[in-house]
Amino acid sequence: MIPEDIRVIFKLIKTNPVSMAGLVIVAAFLVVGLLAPFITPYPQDAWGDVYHLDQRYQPPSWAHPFGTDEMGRDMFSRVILGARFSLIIAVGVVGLALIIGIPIGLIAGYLGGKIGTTLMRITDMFLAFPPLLLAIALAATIGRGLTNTIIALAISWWPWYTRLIYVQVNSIKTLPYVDAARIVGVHPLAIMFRHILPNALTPVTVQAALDMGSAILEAAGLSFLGVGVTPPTPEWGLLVTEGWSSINIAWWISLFPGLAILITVLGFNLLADAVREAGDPRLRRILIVGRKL
Amino acid sequence: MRRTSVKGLSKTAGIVIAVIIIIIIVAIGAYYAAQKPAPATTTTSPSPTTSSPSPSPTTTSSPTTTSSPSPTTSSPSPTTTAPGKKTLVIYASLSEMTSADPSTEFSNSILWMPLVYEPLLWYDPLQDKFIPGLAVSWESSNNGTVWTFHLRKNAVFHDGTPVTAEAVKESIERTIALGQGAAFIWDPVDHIEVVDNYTIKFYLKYPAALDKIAASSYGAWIFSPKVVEYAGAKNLTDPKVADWFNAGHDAGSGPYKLVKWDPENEVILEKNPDWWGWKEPNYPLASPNAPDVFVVKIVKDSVTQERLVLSGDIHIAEYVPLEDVDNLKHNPKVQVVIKPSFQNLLMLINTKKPPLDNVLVRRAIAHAIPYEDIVKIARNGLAQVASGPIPHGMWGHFDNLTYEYNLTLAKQLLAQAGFPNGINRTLLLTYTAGDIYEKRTAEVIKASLAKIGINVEIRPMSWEEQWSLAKSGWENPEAAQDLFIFYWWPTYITPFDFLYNMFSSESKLFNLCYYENPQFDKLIEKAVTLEATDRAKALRLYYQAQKILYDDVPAIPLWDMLDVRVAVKSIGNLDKAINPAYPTVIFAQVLEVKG
Repeated sequence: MIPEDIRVIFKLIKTNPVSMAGLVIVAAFLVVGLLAPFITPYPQDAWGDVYHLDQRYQPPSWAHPFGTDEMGRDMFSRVILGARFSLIIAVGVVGLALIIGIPIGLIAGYLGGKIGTTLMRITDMFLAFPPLLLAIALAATIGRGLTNTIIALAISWWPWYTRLIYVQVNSIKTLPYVDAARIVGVHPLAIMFRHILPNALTPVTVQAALDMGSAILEAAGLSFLGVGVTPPTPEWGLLVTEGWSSINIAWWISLFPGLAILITVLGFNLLADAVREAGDPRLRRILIVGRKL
Repeated sequence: MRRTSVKGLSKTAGIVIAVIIIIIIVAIGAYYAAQKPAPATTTTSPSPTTSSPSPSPTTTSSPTTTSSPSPTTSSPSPTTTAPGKKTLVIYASLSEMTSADPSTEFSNSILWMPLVYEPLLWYDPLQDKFIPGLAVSWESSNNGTVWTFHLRKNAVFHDGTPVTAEAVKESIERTIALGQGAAFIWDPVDHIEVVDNYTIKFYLKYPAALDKIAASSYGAWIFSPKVVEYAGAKNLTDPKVADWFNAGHDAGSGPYKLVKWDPENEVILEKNPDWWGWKEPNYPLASPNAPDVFVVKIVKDSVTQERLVLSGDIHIAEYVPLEDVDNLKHNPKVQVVIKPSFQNLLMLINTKKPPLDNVLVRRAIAHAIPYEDIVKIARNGLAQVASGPIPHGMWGHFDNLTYEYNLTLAKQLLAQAGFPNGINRTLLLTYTAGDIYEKRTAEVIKASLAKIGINVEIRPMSWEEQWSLAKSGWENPEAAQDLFIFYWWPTYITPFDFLYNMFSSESKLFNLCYYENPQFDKLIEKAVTLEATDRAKALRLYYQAQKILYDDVPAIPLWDMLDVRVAVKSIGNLDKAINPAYPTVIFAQVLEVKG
């Protein structure tokens, strides 16, 4: 994205407290996610490497703000470290989906013809599945674990980016500067990646930012259903499941990771709204010429 | 300007929605905090019954739903229902029912089958004695190779035909001929002879405790041979007979009749007034106030079961969250019955894969596991630390076979084995996904083995997946898991069932330690033939066999489960209605329904 876009986005966010809240939440999530291993009060509890027989099912207190779980582990530490895993999943899923989706869309769009049609029909096949269902089926087949969860989600995710890129490339490739490049003999790959791709990237970037929240939510869903990451990884969805059977005596085990999912996804969605508004040409014009809303 | 107002509206809406969501969550949280019996939604929860090593897939289970005309009687009114003031007891089962064929059933339908069908004998394992079923007396001769059973003369099948020796012979022969489910229990039988209408003789190929086999919880049910007629079949082994059973018909002689068969939702049983047991004075398996209608209702979540039993919508819950048991004990609305169960959890070790092929490493692991802590964390104390592979309360169990939790000793053993700094490879431990008891056990084991320098990766897998992975270890032990957490329970009550299936070199399906020890094999083969004639000697041999396992550590027994059933207060005799030899069964004919 060009710096002007970012300026516009910031302008928009500043004028809207809801978007501001989104930005703050996402920023906090990123900071916590990056620093998680260093800021957990009980690192061993967070990784699930220990158990404390005498501290099981402690309600929230100053020592354990989110209480402790059935193994006596500090839930606050586990939720904080969970942010790291959610961050890895969000970046991993969206990143992998972009890596698969963009080249396919680019090639299909630029080459067109039979190759393009074939590629897009394959994409449509993937789009025809309900995304979460496909991810569950994949995760159940290839087995559990962090990497497998990311792969399973990314495979159900990439077609959306392919579609977006494909449409962009189709309109860009008829522009005169592309023709010019082709006439002077630039290699097709260079045309695709150096001349077309940068101009087609904006909507995909917006979509990717939007999808971060959904990726976290779906990964949590997979873990909750028992096909996601493996215990004792403190992934939020898994933490919610683990607390389920003791919900009658220890509501805090499920509540706090659940809240963490809710707030983070809410943050991403609010922020994504702002980003999308920035892409609205009418709003942009108003903002760029500096008129107040 | 118009635009601004629209924008303002959406902004407010956003804030309002966010606030509402947060309020809802806080309210729910506060509600849970304030009130113990909380309303709950449904999700998956552990079911030890479904994740079982019992090979249920071997049954031809295609549970056909019947187009039964009887209406759903899931009325919430406790103990009484509208038509004719009949007493009603609803029992919630965590798992769906499977098939209704008494010959081949080897899975969840055991839950109701003992109420509809009867065996020759019942076995009470906690007192190690038999209760007469269709047979009133029995004796063995010729070193336990010939068994004679004398049948009671007043037993009648639900279709009105009397229970005769011929019917017993044909029932058991059908089970053997179909060769599915638990048919293997009859392996010792060579042939069956009808002496007269009420006397039957079994000739065995080798000595065996046929009394225990006849009291098996699977594959020992007697049914009316007239099913051939009803099903329009050529003979008893015709698949049409199985179809007839699975359409929701019964041909038993027991205290209840099957009136509605909807295996995915509910099974309804109605009292059989003609049952001989009601008239028999002092028969231990009958009560004058037994419920007229017994309903098995499928409720697939333990949190929901608890809520339903507290509200009185069901009368007996099969499983409640173990964490809540302490609170339920003090709840005036319900009673809690805790009984031993013969289901135990073991950790099988891949004895063919280095470094676990070294017995010192295996012993080190055995001494590095905090058994008491596991029981407290995984089962909230509702289990007993295992002592050998035979569970507490069963004949053949010995109390001195628990490994001592001793980290110093474990480290010493590991150093002796040549690993003073721990093992440089991460061991893979698999357990059944969705089973929280196994999960917590696995997590404690992981944390504990880390203390002696053994890293463990725990991986939940579906039962089928991990079972086939483990079985592949016979061919290629390197590819199989290192540690395998696994439940066992017996088909019929004998130590042989545990020792043979899990540790005999012949048992390729469940000996997933790949343990091969000819001396051990010989001991248990000898012991099982002696069970009928010289029980003291058999017991000694079983002890020796278990001692060998204790020293060789092909597997580490972790805990023996305690079963917890929660029922409304108006139901009496619940304790008597539970028998660990017949897991998940509530013997409704013993219950006392008050008011």
